[in-house]
Amino acid sequence: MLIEPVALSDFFLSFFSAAMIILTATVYAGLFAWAKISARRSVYWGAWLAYIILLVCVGIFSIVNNFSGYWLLLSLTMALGYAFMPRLIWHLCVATHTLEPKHSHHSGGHHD
Amino acid sequence: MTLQTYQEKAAVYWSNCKQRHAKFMANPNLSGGQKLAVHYFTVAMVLFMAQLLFGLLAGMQFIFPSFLYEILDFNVNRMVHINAMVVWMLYGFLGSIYWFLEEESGVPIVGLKWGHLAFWVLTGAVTIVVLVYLLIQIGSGDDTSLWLINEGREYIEAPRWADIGIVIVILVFFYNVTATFAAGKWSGIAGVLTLDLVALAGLYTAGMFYVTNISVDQYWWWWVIHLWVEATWEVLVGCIMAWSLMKLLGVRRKVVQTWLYIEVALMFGSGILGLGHHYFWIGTPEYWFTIGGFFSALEPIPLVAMVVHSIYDSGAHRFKNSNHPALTWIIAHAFGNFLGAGVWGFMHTLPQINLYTHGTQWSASHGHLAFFGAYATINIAFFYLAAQQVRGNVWMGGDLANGWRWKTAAVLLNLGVMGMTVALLIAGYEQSFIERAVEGSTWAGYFAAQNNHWFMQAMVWRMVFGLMTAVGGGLLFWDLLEIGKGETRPAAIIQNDAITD
Amino acid sequence: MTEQVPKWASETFWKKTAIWVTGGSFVLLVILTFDSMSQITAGGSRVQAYSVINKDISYRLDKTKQRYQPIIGGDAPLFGKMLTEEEAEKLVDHGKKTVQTKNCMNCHTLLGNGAYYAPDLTKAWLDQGWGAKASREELMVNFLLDPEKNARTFGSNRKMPNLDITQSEAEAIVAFLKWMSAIDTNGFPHNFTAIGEED
Repeated sequence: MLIEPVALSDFFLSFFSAAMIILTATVYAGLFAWAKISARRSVYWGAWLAYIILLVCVGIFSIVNNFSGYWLLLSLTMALGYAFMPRLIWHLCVATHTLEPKHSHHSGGHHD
Repeated sequence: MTLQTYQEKAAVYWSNCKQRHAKFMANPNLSGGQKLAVHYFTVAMVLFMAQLLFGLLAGMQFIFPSFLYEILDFNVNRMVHINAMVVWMLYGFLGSIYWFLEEESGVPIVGLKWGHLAFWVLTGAVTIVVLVYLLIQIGSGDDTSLWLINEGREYIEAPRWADIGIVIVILVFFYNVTATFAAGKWSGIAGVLTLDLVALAGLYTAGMFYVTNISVDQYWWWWVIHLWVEATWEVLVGCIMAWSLMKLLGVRRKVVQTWLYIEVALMFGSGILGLGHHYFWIGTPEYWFTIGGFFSALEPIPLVAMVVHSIYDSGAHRFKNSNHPALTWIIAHAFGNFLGAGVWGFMHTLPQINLYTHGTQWSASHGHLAFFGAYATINIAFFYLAAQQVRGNVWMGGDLANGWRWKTAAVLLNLGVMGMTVALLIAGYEQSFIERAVEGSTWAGYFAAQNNHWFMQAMVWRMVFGLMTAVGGGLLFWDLLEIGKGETRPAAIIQNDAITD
Repeated sequence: MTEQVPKWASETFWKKTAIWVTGGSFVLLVILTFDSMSQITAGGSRVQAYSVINKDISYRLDKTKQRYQPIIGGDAPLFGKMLTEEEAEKLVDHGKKTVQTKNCMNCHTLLGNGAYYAPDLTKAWLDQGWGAKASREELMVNFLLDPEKNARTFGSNRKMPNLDITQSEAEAIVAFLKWMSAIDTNGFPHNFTAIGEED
């Protein structure tokens, strides 16, 4: 058996945890980026709080969707992927923008 | 009135149209390509209105099944509703690309005359197809009907002759894009755009043949639908956005193009095999469960990337913006895309739950918000950019005359679509629960779910919000025709050397 | 402006990555498509040969796989005629073509895809609503010929319109629906009690 369908009683939890995974992943990513910009400690803690909620949601999602065997890899991928993806993207933002002068659009006839 | 007075009235009307068109063609604010783009945008808006109208008719039939029974049946209204949507969005994309083609390549469009001809041919063909949909509707079960009336495959119902016409028009468009870039400057955006257009046209041919075997039929049908909507269209929007960021916000070309490539990698990397989530139940092998499930979970990643990037940008730049309506719609795009494609998509995508939600109002809920959020919004933003230029690149920021109009339109459209989405979500939840899980998907189960008061009420609410959307749409159309007229303040000039990099 | 963009964040790196990711995904999709096509060709175990319309078809829970699967039984010729594979294919083909030209998919779903104004047709042949197996074929044909008079609205007031379906088209549609009900759809729809399977 490749999949075990969601039980009737778990319908709501399945939808809700799925939606929450995407929402908390985004909130985490957003707060993480904001924490980097504002360098505010509280925002940083907020980001981690969002990530912890994300982990709980991934857990609930995996249980109600009856994940077993290799499907658990998906849970792991989500837990790790959503943790590191925003960091990776952040580093990319910083690195790709190194050619840009800070806080201004003027670059004075510079050519790449 | 006699026939003669009708003819006279028509002649006056026709000459008025010709005069207005001639006046528009003499507009000094627009380049040749931009004039062609406005043609596309105009038809796109007309088709958007048609989408709203036929959506209302179809929605009404859920509440009053005898409404227009055997005159304009649900299948006709629904077909025009979704076809108008696909076509107006394509018109918007083609127009947007014509809009920036000359600036991006640095030379005038190579085959502008051909472009105009293709536009009129396509518009004529679309008109004929819609008239046949409405007046003839269906044919007998033979090849002639497939060639001349409709092919009966959701989203790509257009008869075969029109399919061929569409491919020819796209080839003309493709020629114009590549030849213009080749004659002028080739850029990263040009490269991505060219390859994406090849894929777009190539994929369409995957939906142009008839097979008896419905599993094979739907396999290829999803190639067109999914790989258009969740891959090539997204990249097309990526190209349009990339250019807009350079042009409007002065972001440097190298940065924009690097990110365009990152987006392509993320979108195609998750989207191409994400196709698997449509292959759970159509007869295809079980390994699609795994592929579809895993890649669907990856599909939100580009959205997360955008969130991080936009926050980074808001910290790194201080943007001046003198087109508030366009900016508003780009923000609506960010939220709509995230909610519609990301959240609404992931809620019912894994096979464990999709077994119950597949083919219910869940898909309608997701479809409404995702198409609106991902594509309608970005097209509307571009229409506002065009309107600004048409009126002489005037100020369209704060304290704009009659600013209530675009604001009200935006509020009504966004609230309306969101309201429909939530109403359909409730209907879908109820349907998947009662029809699928409890009753086991029998016909009796289907109707038990349809007759349930939760479902019936959801359909009424959908109608209420549908009307709100339609009013917003009408207001939007009116606003686009009027906004910026009489405005004399110029738009702020964006310091911009990105284009010339 | 002396700062250098690191290699992993450079335009060329991502250009190459985009090309490889797109190309790789597409090649994988093509390979999977070849395999899927070989598995869903009519006549295999997932999609039955068209002559399956000569057989009795049902749908039952497979206890080991924990999911519903089509069951092909003994002879049960459609409209009392045993057809050769070619004859059956021709009939099903006519049915499929009619289903397309009558635009069924913009009210109904087939294999779950389409519109949601009317019931799913995937297992229409097996629906209990037809009462008994013996009278099913005739009921289906009559319904298609005059859906208004033979309306099956289940209290919803939603009636199928008259689509000018001819006798031969109606029979072909029934053949198509019977053939489609034998496709192994990985357990979709779930929990469906087929006609004749009520205990």
